[in-house]
Amino acid sequence: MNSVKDYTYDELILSTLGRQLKDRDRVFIGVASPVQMMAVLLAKATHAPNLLYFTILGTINPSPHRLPFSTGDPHLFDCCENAITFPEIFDLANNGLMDVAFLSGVQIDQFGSLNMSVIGEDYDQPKVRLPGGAGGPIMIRSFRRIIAWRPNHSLRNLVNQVPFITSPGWISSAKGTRHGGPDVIVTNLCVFSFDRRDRNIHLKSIHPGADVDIIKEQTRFPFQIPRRIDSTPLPTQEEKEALTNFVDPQRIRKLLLKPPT
Amino acid sequence: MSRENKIMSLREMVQNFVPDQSRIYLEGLLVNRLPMAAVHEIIRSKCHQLRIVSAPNGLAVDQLVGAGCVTEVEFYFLGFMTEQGFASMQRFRTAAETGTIRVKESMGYAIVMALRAGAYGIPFIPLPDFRGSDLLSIRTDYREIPSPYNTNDIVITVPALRPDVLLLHAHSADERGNIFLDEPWPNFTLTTAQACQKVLVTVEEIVEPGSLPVHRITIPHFLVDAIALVPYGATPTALNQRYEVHANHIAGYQDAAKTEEGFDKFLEEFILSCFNQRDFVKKIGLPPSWTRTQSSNK
Repeated sequence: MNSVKDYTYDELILSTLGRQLKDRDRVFIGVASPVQMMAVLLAKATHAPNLLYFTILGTINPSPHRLPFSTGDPHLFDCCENAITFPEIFDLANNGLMDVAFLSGVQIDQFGSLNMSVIGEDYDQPKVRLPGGAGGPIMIRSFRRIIAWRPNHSLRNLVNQVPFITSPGWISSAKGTRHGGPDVIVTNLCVFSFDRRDRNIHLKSIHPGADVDIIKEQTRFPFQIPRRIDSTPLPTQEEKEALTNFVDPQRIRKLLLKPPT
Repeated sequence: MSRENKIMSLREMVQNFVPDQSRIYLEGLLVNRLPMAAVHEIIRSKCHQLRIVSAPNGLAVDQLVGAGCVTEVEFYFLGFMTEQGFASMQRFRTAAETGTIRVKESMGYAIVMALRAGAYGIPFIPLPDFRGSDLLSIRTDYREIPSPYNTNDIVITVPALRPDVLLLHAHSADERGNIFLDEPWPNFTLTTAQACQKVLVTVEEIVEPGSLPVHRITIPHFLVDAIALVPYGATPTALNQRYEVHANHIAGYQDAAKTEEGFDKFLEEFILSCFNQRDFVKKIGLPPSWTRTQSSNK
Protein backbone atom coordinates (compact mmCIF):
# COMPACT_ATOMS: atom_id res chain seq x y z
CA MET A 1 0.00 0.00 0.00
CA ASN A 2 1.30 3.41 -0.86
CA SER A 3 0.56 5.29 2.32
CA VAL A 4 0.97 9.03 2.23
CA LYS A 5 2.68 11.52 4.51
CA ASP A 6 0.27 14.39 4.01
CA TYR A 7 -2.87 13.06 5.59
CA THR A 8 -5.35 14.63 7.99
CA TYR A 9 -6.83 13.36 11.25
CA ASP A 10 -10.21 12.57 9.67
CA GLU A 11 -8.53 10.55 6.93
CA LEU A 12 -6.52 8.56 9.46
CA ILE A 13 -9.59 7.69 11.56
CA LEU A 14 -11.79 6.79 8.59
CA SER A 15 -9.05 4.69 7.07
CA THR A 16 -8.45 2.90 10.39
CA LEU A 17 -12.15 2.20 10.90
CA GLY A 18 -12.61 1.20 7.27
CA ARG A 19 -9.76 -1.31 7.38
CA GLN A 20 -11.49 -3.24 10.16
CA LEU A 21 -14.00 -4.33 7.49
CA LYS A 22 -13.55 -7.14 5.00
CA ASP A 23 -14.87 -7.69 1.54
CA ARG A 24 -18.25 -9.49 1.70
CA ASP A 25 -18.87 -8.44 5.30
CA ARG A 26 -22.47 -7.71 6.17
CA VAL A 27 -22.34 -4.59 8.27
CA PHE A 28 -24.92 -2.72 10.31
CA ILE A 29 -24.81 1.04 10.89
CA GLY A 30 -26.99 2.07 13.80
CA VAL A 31 -28.24 5.32 15.30
CA ALA A 32 -26.16 8.49 15.29
CA SER A 33 -23.36 6.92 13.23
CA PRO A 34 -22.39 9.15 10.28
CA VAL A 35 -18.66 8.59 10.93
CA GLN A 36 -19.14 4.83 10.84
CA MET A 37 -21.16 5.18 7.65
CA MET A 38 -18.33 7.12 6.03
CA ALA A 39 -15.86 4.41 7.05
CA VAL A 40 -18.10 1.78 5.47
CA LEU A 41 -18.42 3.76 2.24
CA LEU A 42 -14.64 4.20 2.21
CA ALA A 43 -14.05 0.46 2.66
CA LYS A 44 -16.59 -0.27 -0.06
CA ALA A 45 -14.89 2.18 -2.43
CA THR A 46 -11.47 0.64 -1.82
CA HIS A 47 -10.74 -2.85 -0.50
CA ALA A 48 -14.26 -4.17 0.16
CA PRO A 49 -16.41 -3.63 -2.95
CA ASN A 50 -18.68 -6.56 -2.12
CA LEU A 51 -19.47 -5.39 1.37
CA LEU A 52 -23.20 -5.25 2.10
CA TYR A 53 -24.33 -2.66 4.60
CA PHE A 54 -27.60 -2.00 6.34
CA THR A 55 -28.63 1.21 8.06
CA ILE A 56 -31.04 1.79 10.94
CA LEU A 57 -33.65 2.94 8.39
CA GLY A 58 -33.39 -0.54 6.89
CA THR A 59 -31.77 0.70 3.69
CA ILE A 60 -29.28 -1.67 2.09
CA ASN A 61 -26.15 -0.28 0.43
CA PRO A 62 -27.28 3.33 0.14
CA SER A 63 -24.83 5.46 -1.84
CA PRO A 64 -25.79 9.01 -1.01
CA HIS A 65 -24.90 11.87 -3.27
CA ARG A 66 -24.44 14.01 -0.18
CA LEU A 67 -23.67 12.35 3.16
CA PRO A 68 -26.37 12.95 5.76
CA PHE A 69 -25.48 14.02 9.30
CA SER A 70 -28.17 11.74 10.65
CA THR A 71 -28.31 8.06 9.71
CA GLY A 72 -32.09 8.56 9.95
CA ASP A 73 -32.17 10.93 6.99
CA PRO A 74 -34.83 9.66 4.54
CA HIS A 75 -32.62 10.57 1.56
CA LEU A 76 -31.04 7.17 2.21
CA PHE A 77 -34.27 5.59 0.92
CA ASP A 78 -33.68 7.31 -2.37
CA CYS A 79 -30.28 5.87 -3.14
CA CYS A 80 -30.37 2.34 -1.71
CA GLU A 81 -30.31 -0.99 -3.52
CA ASN A 82 -33.03 -2.48 -1.39
CA ALA A 83 -34.55 -2.17 2.04
CA ILE A 84 -35.84 -4.15 4.99
CA THR A 85 -36.64 -2.79 8.46
CA PHE A 86 -34.35 -2.60 11.43
CA PRO A 87 -36.19 -5.29 13.44
CA GLU A 88 -35.39 -7.67 10.60
CA ILE A 89 -31.70 -6.77 10.80
CA PHE A 90 -31.73 -7.94 14.43
CA ASP A 91 -33.56 -11.09 13.33
CA LEU A 92 -30.91 -11.76 10.68
CA ALA A 93 -28.17 -11.32 13.28
CA ASN A 94 -29.87 -13.81 15.63
CA ASN A 95 -29.75 -16.32 12.79
CA GLY A 96 -26.03 -15.75 12.34
CA LEU A 97 -26.44 -13.89 9.08
CA MET A 98 -24.80 -10.58 10.04
CA ASP A 99 -21.07 -10.03 10.48
CA VAL A 100 -20.19 -6.61 11.84
CA ALA A 101 -21.86 -3.92 13.90
CA PHE A 102 -20.50 -0.63 15.15
CA LEU A 103 -21.31 0.01 18.79
CA SER A 104 -19.93 2.43 21.29
CA GLY A 105 -20.19 3.47 24.88
CA VAL A 106 -19.88 6.82 26.56
CA GLN A 107 -17.75 4.70 28.88
CA ILE A 108 -15.89 1.56 27.85
CA ASP A 109 -13.98 -0.69 30.24
CA GLN A 110 -11.16 -3.23 30.10
CA PHE A 111 -13.61 -6.03 29.27
CA GLY A 112 -15.16 -4.06 26.44
CA SER A 113 -18.42 -3.57 28.35
CA LEU A 114 -20.26 -0.47 27.21
CA ASN A 115 -22.13 2.04 29.33
CA MET A 116 -24.78 4.06 27.52
CA SER A 117 -27.20 4.30 30.45
CA VAL A 118 -26.21 6.30 33.53
CA ILE A 119 -23.22 7.80 35.30
CA GLY A 120 -23.55 7.99 39.07
CA GLU A 121 -24.41 5.71 41.97
CA ASP A 122 -28.19 5.99 41.98
CA TYR A 123 -29.78 4.61 38.81
CA ASP A 124 -33.04 6.44 39.52
CA GLN A 125 -31.41 9.82 40.06
CA PRO A 126 -28.15 9.57 38.18
CA LYS A 127 -25.53 12.26 37.88
CA VAL A 128 -25.79 11.95 34.10
CA ARG A 129 -28.59 10.30 32.16
CA LEU A 130 -27.08 8.93 28.94
CA PRO A 131 -29.05 8.34 25.70
CA GLY A 132 -29.50 4.56 26.04
CA GLY A 133 -27.78 1.60 24.42
CA ALA A 134 -30.07 1.23 21.38
CA GLY A 135 -29.76 -2.40 20.18
CA GLY A 136 -26.40 -2.95 21.86
CA PRO A 137 -27.16 -5.43 24.66
CA ILE A 138 -28.12 -8.16 22.21
CA MET A 139 -26.13 -7.02 19.16
CA ILE A 140 -22.87 -7.34 21.07
CA ARG A 141 -23.56 -11.09 20.99
CA SER A 142 -25.54 -11.63 17.84
CA PHE A 143 -23.04 -10.01 15.45
CA ARG A 144 -19.78 -11.84 14.76
CA ARG A 145 -17.60 -8.77 15.19
CA ILE A 146 -18.12 -5.51 17.01
CA ILE A 147 -16.14 -2.38 16.25
CA ALA A 148 -16.22 0.39 18.84
CA TRP A 149 -15.28 3.96 17.89
CA ARG A 150 -14.46 6.09 20.92
CA PRO A 151 -13.27 9.64 20.24
CA ASN A 152 -11.99 11.79 23.14
CA HIS A 153 -9.80 9.04 24.59
CA SER A 154 -9.61 10.02 28.27
CA LEU A 155 -9.73 8.77 31.86
CA ARG A 156 -13.43 9.61 31.92
CA ASN A 157 -14.26 7.44 28.90
CA LEU A 158 -11.89 4.49 29.20
CA VAL A 159 -12.59 3.27 32.70
CA ASN A 160 -11.55 0.28 34.76
CA GLN A 161 -15.07 -1.05 35.12
CA VAL A 162 -18.23 0.64 33.88
CA PRO A 163 -20.67 1.44 36.73
CA PHE A 164 -23.59 0.24 34.60
CA ILE A 165 -23.24 -2.45 31.94
CA THR A 166 -25.61 -1.59 29.13
CA SER A 167 -23.94 -3.99 26.67
CA PRO A 168 -21.75 -6.69 28.23
CA GLY A 169 -18.25 -7.25 26.93
CA TRP A 170 -15.90 -10.19 27.50
CA ILE A 171 -16.95 -10.83 31.07
CA SER A 172 -17.16 -14.26 32.58
CA SER A 173 -20.73 -15.24 33.25
CA ALA A 174 -22.86 -18.19 34.20
CA LYS A 175 -22.20 -21.51 32.50
CA GLY A 176 -23.90 -21.83 29.17
CA THR A 177 -23.99 -18.14 28.49
CA ARG A 178 -22.55 -17.14 25.17
CA HIS A 179 -19.93 -14.46 25.40
CA GLY A 180 -19.69 -11.40 23.30
CA GLY A 181 -17.84 -8.14 23.13
CA PRO A 182 -15.94 -5.80 20.90
CA ASP A 183 -13.11 -7.02 18.71
CA VAL A 184 -11.48 -3.63 18.51
CA ILE A 185 -11.80 -0.23 20.09
CA VAL A 186 -10.57 2.58 17.87
CA THR A 187 -9.88 5.84 19.70
CA ASN A 188 -8.32 9.12 18.65
CA LEU A 189 -4.98 7.88 20.05
CA CYS A 190 -4.77 4.17 19.27
CA VAL A 191 -6.39 0.87 18.45
CA PHE A 192 -7.06 -1.64 21.24
CA SER A 193 -7.99 -5.19 20.43
CA PHE A 194 -9.13 -8.18 22.41
CA ASP A 195 -7.03 -11.29 22.15
CA ARG A 196 -8.98 -14.02 20.34
CA ARG A 197 -7.93 -16.65 22.91
CA ASP A 198 -7.93 -15.06 26.36
CA ARG A 199 -9.94 -11.95 25.45
CA ASN A 200 -7.57 -9.69 27.33
CA ILE A 201 -7.31 -6.18 26.02
CA HIS A 202 -4.08 -5.16 24.38
CA LEU A 203 -2.68 -2.23 22.51
CA LYS A 204 -2.75 -3.09 18.84
CA SER A 205 -1.40 0.05 17.23
CA ILE A 206 -0.62 3.65 18.08
CA HIS A 207 -1.69 6.56 15.91
CA PRO A 208 1.07 8.90 14.74
CA GLY A 209 1.67 11.62 17.29
CA ALA A 210 0.66 9.51 20.29
CA ASP A 211 2.90 7.24 22.37
CA VAL A 212 2.52 4.56 25.03
CA ASP A 213 2.95 7.04 27.88
CA ILE A 214 0.20 9.37 26.64
CA ILE A 215 -2.11 6.40 26.15
CA LYS A 216 -1.36 5.06 29.66
CA GLU A 217 -1.96 8.50 31.12
CA GLN A 218 -5.34 8.77 29.43
CA THR A 219 -6.57 5.23 30.13
CA ARG A 220 -7.94 4.11 33.49
CA PHE A 221 -7.58 0.37 32.84
CA PRO A 222 -4.45 -1.72 32.48
CA PHE A 223 -3.77 -3.15 29.03
CA GLN A 224 -1.20 -5.50 27.57
CA ILE A 225 1.58 -3.91 25.60
CA PRO A 226 3.22 -6.09 22.96
CA ARG A 227 7.00 -6.15 22.80
CA ARG A 228 6.98 -4.53 19.41
CA ILE A 229 4.28 -1.90 19.05
CA ASP A 230 2.89 -1.21 15.62
CA SER A 231 2.15 2.21 14.38
CA THR A 232 -1.36 2.60 12.92
CA PRO A 233 -0.99 2.35 9.13
CA LEU A 234 -1.37 5.69 7.41
CA PRO A 235 -4.09 6.37 4.85
CA THR A 236 -3.24 5.56 1.26
CA GLN A 237 -3.50 7.83 -1.75
CA GLU A 238 -6.36 5.65 -2.97
CA GLU A 239 -8.26 6.17 0.30
CA LYS A 240 -7.68 9.92 0.25
CA GLU A 241 -8.99 10.14 -3.28
CA ALA A 242 -12.01 7.96 -2.51
CA LEU A 243 -12.94 10.24 0.38
CA THR A 244 -12.58 13.41 -1.65
CA ASN A 245 -14.10 12.23 -4.89
CA PHE A 246 -16.67 9.71 -3.88
CA VAL A 247 -17.46 9.20 -0.21
CA ASP A 248 -17.65 12.77 1.05
CA PRO A 249 -17.09 15.47 -1.57
CA GLN A 250 -18.87 17.97 0.73
CA ARG A 251 -16.26 17.30 3.41
CA ILE A 252 -18.68 16.85 6.30
CA ARG A 253 -15.96 14.61 7.78
CA LYS A 254 -14.15 17.81 8.71
CA LEU A 255 -17.07 18.76 10.98
CA LEU A 256 -17.55 15.32 12.48
CA LEU A 257 -13.89 14.45 13.00
CA LYS A 258 -12.09 17.47 14.32
CA PRO A 259 -8.50 16.79 15.32
CA PRO A 260 -8.05 16.62 19.10
CA THR A 261 -6.55 19.81 20.49
CA MET B 1 -76.34 4.76 4.89
CA SER B 2 -73.59 7.28 5.27
CA ARG B 3 -70.10 6.25 4.47
CA GLU B 4 -67.55 5.83 7.20
CA ASN B 5 -65.42 8.97 7.54
CA LYS B 6 -62.56 9.13 10.02
CA ILE B 7 -61.27 12.56 9.07
CA MET B 8 -61.27 15.12 11.85
CA SER B 9 -59.19 18.07 12.95
CA LEU B 10 -55.99 17.36 14.82
CA ARG B 11 -57.50 19.11 17.84
CA GLU B 12 -60.51 16.77 17.82
CA MET B 13 -58.21 13.80 17.37
CA VAL B 14 -56.21 14.65 20.46
CA GLN B 15 -59.27 15.56 22.53
CA ASN B 16 -61.16 12.40 21.59
CA PHE B 17 -58.38 9.85 21.63
CA VAL B 18 -55.59 11.03 23.94
CA PRO B 19 -56.98 11.21 27.48
CA ASP B 20 -54.63 11.98 30.37
CA GLN B 21 -52.58 8.96 31.48
CA SER B 22 -52.64 7.42 28.00
CA ARG B 23 -49.75 5.20 27.04
CA ILE B 24 -48.57 6.49 23.68
CA TYR B 25 -46.28 4.90 21.14
CA LEU B 26 -44.48 7.49 19.02
CA GLU B 27 -43.52 6.44 15.48
CA GLY B 28 -40.66 7.88 13.46
CA LEU B 29 -36.93 7.48 13.84
CA LEU B 30 -34.15 10.01 14.59
CA VAL B 31 -34.98 12.82 12.12
CA ASN B 32 -37.38 10.86 9.93
CA ARG B 33 -41.14 11.58 10.15
CA LEU B 34 -41.68 12.18 13.83
CA PRO B 35 -45.36 13.04 14.51
CA MET B 36 -44.38 16.57 15.53
CA ALA B 37 -47.69 18.31 14.73
CA ALA B 38 -49.51 15.81 16.93
CA VAL B 39 -46.91 16.27 19.66
CA HIS B 40 -47.37 20.04 19.53
CA GLU B 41 -51.15 19.67 19.69
CA ILE B 42 -50.86 17.39 22.74
CA ILE B 43 -48.78 20.11 24.39
CA ARG B 44 -51.35 22.79 23.47
CA SER B 45 -54.14 20.59 24.83
CA LYS B 46 -52.22 20.33 28.11
CA CYS B 47 -52.44 16.54 28.34
CA HIS B 48 -51.04 15.18 31.60
CA GLN B 49 -49.39 12.09 32.98
CA LEU B 50 -48.80 10.50 29.62
CA ARG B 51 -46.71 7.36 29.46
CA ILE B 52 -44.50 7.40 26.39
CA VAL B 53 -43.07 4.40 24.60
CA SER B 54 -40.49 5.69 22.21
CA ALA B 55 -38.67 4.57 19.12
CA PRO B 56 -35.43 6.60 18.86
CA ASN B 57 -37.36 9.84 18.38
CA GLY B 58 -35.82 12.04 21.02
CA LEU B 59 -37.02 15.41 19.78
CA ALA B 60 -40.69 14.49 20.28
CA VAL B 61 -40.03 12.98 23.71
CA ASP B 62 -37.92 15.94 24.82
CA GLN B 63 -40.64 18.47 24.01
CA LEU B 64 -43.41 16.43 25.66
CA VAL B 65 -41.29 15.97 28.79
CA GLY B 66 -40.23 19.63 28.88
CA ALA B 67 -43.86 20.73 28.60
CA GLY B 68 -44.78 18.62 31.62
CA CYS B 69 -47.08 16.20 29.79
CA VAL B 70 -45.22 13.02 30.76
CA THR B 71 -44.78 10.79 33.83
CA GLU B 72 -42.99 7.85 32.25
CA VAL B 73 -40.70 7.26 29.28
CA GLU B 74 -39.89 3.82 27.99
CA PHE B 75 -37.05 4.08 25.49
CA TYR B 76 -33.81 2.63 24.20
CA PHE B 77 -32.10 5.55 22.53
CA LEU B 78 -32.88 9.26 22.67
CA GLY B 79 -30.76 11.68 20.68
CA PHE B 80 -29.59 12.15 17.11
CA MET B 81 -26.77 13.60 15.04
CA THR B 82 -26.82 17.10 13.62
CA GLU B 83 -24.33 19.38 11.96
CA GLN B 84 -23.45 20.62 15.44
CA GLY B 85 -22.67 17.10 16.65
CA PHE B 86 -24.69 14.80 18.88
CA ALA B 87 -27.97 16.33 20.01
CA SER B 88 -28.59 15.09 23.51
CA MET B 89 -32.17 15.40 24.78
CA GLN B 90 -31.74 17.93 27.51
CA ARG B 91 -35.23 18.30 29.00
CA PHE B 92 -35.50 14.52 29.15
CA ARG B 93 -32.06 14.31 30.73
CA THR B 94 -32.84 16.86 33.42
CA ALA B 95 -36.16 15.19 34.21
CA ALA B 96 -34.50 11.78 34.44
CA GLU B 97 -31.61 13.09 36.53
CA THR B 98 -33.91 14.80 39.02
CA GLY B 99 -36.34 11.90 39.13
CA THR B 100 -39.36 13.90 37.98
CA ILE B 101 -40.21 11.24 35.38
CA ARG B 102 -40.13 7.47 35.61
CA VAL B 103 -37.48 6.04 33.31
CA LYS B 104 -38.07 2.61 31.79
CA GLU B 105 -34.92 1.85 29.89
CA SER B 106 -34.98 -0.97 27.40
CA MET B 107 -33.20 -2.01 24.22
CA GLY B 108 -34.33 -1.81 20.62
CA TYR B 109 -34.94 -5.48 20.06
CA ALA B 110 -36.88 -5.89 23.32
CA ILE B 111 -39.31 -3.12 22.37
CA VAL B 112 -39.63 -4.49 18.85
CA MET B 113 -40.32 -8.01 20.12
CA ALA B 114 -42.75 -6.72 22.75
CA LEU B 115 -44.67 -4.91 19.99
CA ARG B 116 -44.63 -8.07 17.90
CA ALA B 117 -46.11 -9.97 20.85
CA GLY B 118 -48.76 -7.26 21.14
CA ALA B 119 -49.51 -7.51 17.43
CA TYR B 120 -49.57 -11.32 17.48
CA GLY B 121 -51.95 -11.41 20.42
CA ILE B 122 -49.65 -13.45 22.66
CA PRO B 123 -48.84 -12.51 26.28
CA PHE B 124 -45.05 -12.48 26.06
CA ILE B 125 -42.25 -13.36 23.71
CA PRO B 126 -38.80 -14.91 24.20
CA LEU B 127 -35.56 -13.23 23.11
CA PRO B 128 -32.13 -14.79 22.77
CA ASP B 129 -30.08 -14.69 25.95
CA PHE B 130 -28.58 -11.30 26.70
CA ARG B 131 -27.56 -11.89 30.31
CA GLY B 132 -24.68 -9.78 31.45
CA SER B 133 -26.52 -6.57 30.67
CA ASP B 134 -27.55 -4.63 33.78
CA LEU B 135 -30.81 -3.83 31.98
CA LEU B 136 -31.98 -7.16 33.37
CA SER B 137 -31.53 -5.90 36.91
CA ILE B 138 -33.61 -2.77 36.38
CA ARG B 139 -36.27 -4.39 34.18
CA THR B 140 -37.79 -6.83 36.62
CA ASP B 141 -40.54 -7.49 34.07
CA TYR B 142 -37.94 -9.11 31.80
CA ARG B 143 -37.41 -12.70 32.98
CA GLU B 144 -34.69 -15.28 32.45
CA ILE B 145 -36.19 -18.71 31.91
CA PRO B 146 -34.88 -22.04 30.60
CA SER B 147 -36.14 -22.76 27.13
CA PRO B 148 -38.98 -25.29 27.40
CA TYR B 149 -37.44 -27.14 24.44
CA ASN B 150 -33.81 -27.22 25.46
CA THR B 151 -33.32 -26.57 29.14
CA ASN B 152 -29.63 -25.78 28.58
CA ASP B 153 -30.69 -22.62 26.78
CA ILE B 154 -31.80 -19.54 28.63
CA VAL B 155 -34.23 -17.19 26.95
CA ILE B 156 -35.30 -13.76 28.14
CA THR B 157 -39.02 -13.13 28.04
CA VAL B 158 -40.55 -9.70 27.63
CA PRO B 159 -44.26 -8.99 28.16
CA ALA B 160 -46.38 -7.94 25.17
CA LEU B 161 -46.63 -4.22 24.60
CA ARG B 162 -50.11 -2.93 23.80
CA PRO B 163 -49.95 0.88 23.98
CA ASP B 164 -53.26 2.77 24.12
CA VAL B 165 -52.42 5.04 21.23
CA LEU B 166 -50.17 5.07 18.18
CA LEU B 167 -49.16 8.45 16.77
CA LEU B 168 -47.96 8.26 13.18
CA HIS B 169 -47.35 10.80 10.46
CA ALA B 170 -47.73 9.42 6.93
CA HIS B 171 -48.07 10.58 3.34
CA SER B 172 -51.70 9.92 2.44
CA ALA B 173 -54.98 8.52 3.62
CA ASP B 174 -58.49 8.17 2.31
CA GLU B 175 -61.50 9.02 4.46
CA ARG B 176 -62.04 5.41 5.50
CA GLY B 177 -58.55 5.40 7.02
CA ASN B 178 -56.42 3.46 4.55
CA ILE B 179 -52.89 4.75 5.08
CA PHE B 180 -50.01 5.09 2.64
CA LEU B 181 -46.53 5.58 4.01
CA ASP B 182 -44.18 6.26 1.10
CA GLU B 183 -41.11 4.35 2.21
CA PRO B 184 -39.63 1.30 0.52
CA TRP B 185 -40.49 -1.27 3.17
CA PRO B 186 -42.75 0.08 5.90
CA ASN B 187 -43.95 -3.27 7.19
CA PHE B 188 -42.96 -2.78 10.81
CA THR B 189 -45.27 0.21 10.99
CA LEU B 190 -48.13 -2.20 10.30
CA THR B 191 -46.98 -4.48 13.13
CA THR B 192 -46.87 -1.46 15.42
CA ALA B 193 -50.37 -0.42 14.36
CA GLN B 194 -51.61 -3.93 15.13
CA ALA B 195 -50.11 -3.72 18.60
CA CYS B 196 -51.67 -0.37 19.51
CA GLN B 197 -55.29 -0.08 20.60
CA LYS B 198 -56.04 3.23 18.86
CA VAL B 199 -54.24 4.29 15.70
CA LEU B 200 -54.11 8.04 15.06
CA VAL B 201 -52.57 9.26 11.83
CA THR B 202 -51.76 12.72 10.55
CA VAL B 203 -51.20 12.89 6.79
CA GLU B 204 -49.88 15.24 4.13
CA GLU B 205 -52.88 14.69 1.89
CA ILE B 206 -56.30 13.10 1.72
CA VAL B 207 -56.96 11.11 -1.42
CA GLU B 208 -60.20 9.96 -3.05
CA PRO B 209 -61.66 6.77 -1.58
CA GLY B 210 -60.48 3.81 -3.60
CA SER B 211 -57.64 5.72 -5.22
CA LEU B 212 -54.85 4.11 -3.20
CA PRO B 213 -53.69 1.01 -5.07
CA VAL B 214 -53.98 -2.02 -2.81
CA HIS B 215 -50.23 -2.64 -2.79
CA ARG B 216 -49.67 0.88 -1.53
CA ILE B 217 -51.83 0.53 1.55
CA THR B 218 -49.45 0.39 4.51
CA ILE B 219 -52.17 0.15 7.16
CA PRO B 220 -55.69 -1.01 6.20
CA HIS B 221 -58.60 1.17 7.31
CA PHE B 222 -60.03 -1.24 9.86
CA LEU B 223 -56.95 -0.78 12.05
CA VAL B 224 -57.15 3.02 11.93
CA ASP B 225 -59.28 5.17 14.23
CA ALA B 226 -58.71 8.77 13.21
CA ILE B 227 -57.15 10.78 10.40
CA ALA B 228 -56.16 14.44 10.43
CA LEU B 229 -54.97 16.38 7.43
CA VAL B 230 -51.78 18.16 8.53
CA PRO B 231 -49.40 19.22 5.77
CA TYR B 232 -45.85 19.46 7.09
CA GLY B 233 -47.00 17.35 10.01
CA ALA B 234 -43.49 16.00 10.62
CA THR B 235 -41.70 19.36 10.47
CA PRO B 236 -39.08 20.10 11.78
CA THR B 237 -38.14 16.48 10.98
CA ALA B 238 -38.10 15.18 7.41
CA LEU B 239 -40.59 13.22 5.33
CA ASN B 240 -39.42 10.96 2.53
CA GLN B 241 -40.02 12.50 -0.92
CA ARG B 242 -41.62 15.62 0.58
CA TYR B 243 -39.42 17.79 2.75
CA GLU B 244 -36.07 17.96 4.47
CA VAL B 245 -35.03 18.31 8.08
CA HIS B 246 -35.46 21.92 9.24
CA ALA B 247 -31.93 22.01 10.61
CA ASN B 248 -31.94 25.63 11.75
CA HIS B 249 -35.06 25.23 13.81
CA ILE B 250 -33.72 22.07 15.46
CA ALA B 251 -30.43 23.82 16.22
CA GLY B 252 -32.41 26.68 17.79
CA TYR B 253 -34.40 24.22 19.87
CA GLN B 254 -31.27 22.45 21.10
CA ASP B 255 -29.88 25.78 22.16
CA ALA B 256 -33.07 26.84 23.94
CA ALA B 257 -33.60 23.49 25.68
CA LYS B 258 -30.33 23.80 27.58
CA THR B 259 -32.24 25.56 30.36
CA GLU B 260 -35.78 25.41 31.64
CA GLU B 261 -36.22 29.14 31.00
CA GLY B 262 -34.96 28.75 27.45
CA PHE B 263 -37.30 25.84 26.88
CA ASP B 264 -40.28 27.74 28.27
CA LYS B 265 -39.58 30.64 25.96
CA PHE B 266 -39.33 28.26 23.02
CA LEU B 267 -42.56 26.57 24.07
CA GLU B 268 -44.42 29.87 24.20
CA GLU B 269 -43.04 31.18 20.94
CA PHE B 270 -43.23 28.10 18.72
CA ILE B 271 -45.94 25.91 20.21
CA LEU B 272 -48.38 27.68 22.55
CA SER B 273 -48.65 30.89 20.58
CA CYS B 274 -49.15 28.97 17.32
CA PHE B 275 -52.73 28.01 16.68
CA ASN B 276 -51.80 24.96 14.61
CA GLN B 277 -49.07 23.37 12.50
CA ARG B 278 -49.75 25.78 9.61
CA ASP B 279 -49.06 28.65 11.97
CA PHE B 280 -45.91 26.97 13.24
CA VAL B 281 -44.55 26.22 9.79
CA LYS B 282 -45.25 29.80 8.70
CA LYS B 283 -43.40 31.08 11.72
CA ILE B 284 -40.25 29.00 11.20
CA GLY B 285 -40.33 29.30 7.42
CA LEU B 286 -41.25 26.35 5.27
CA PRO B 287 -38.82 23.48 5.53
CA PRO B 288 -36.73 23.05 2.40
CA SER B 289 -38.70 20.85 0.08
CA TRP B 290 -37.47 17.55 -1.21
CA THR B 291 -35.11 17.71 -4.10
CA ARG B 292 -34.61 14.45 -5.79
CA THR B 293 -30.89 13.94 -5.72
CA GLN B 294 -29.12 11.88 -8.28
CA SER B 295 -29.54 8.63 -6.53
CA SER B 296 -25.96 7.47 -6.69
CA ASN B 297 -22.52 8.09 -7.96
CA LYS B 298 -22.32 4.63 -9.41
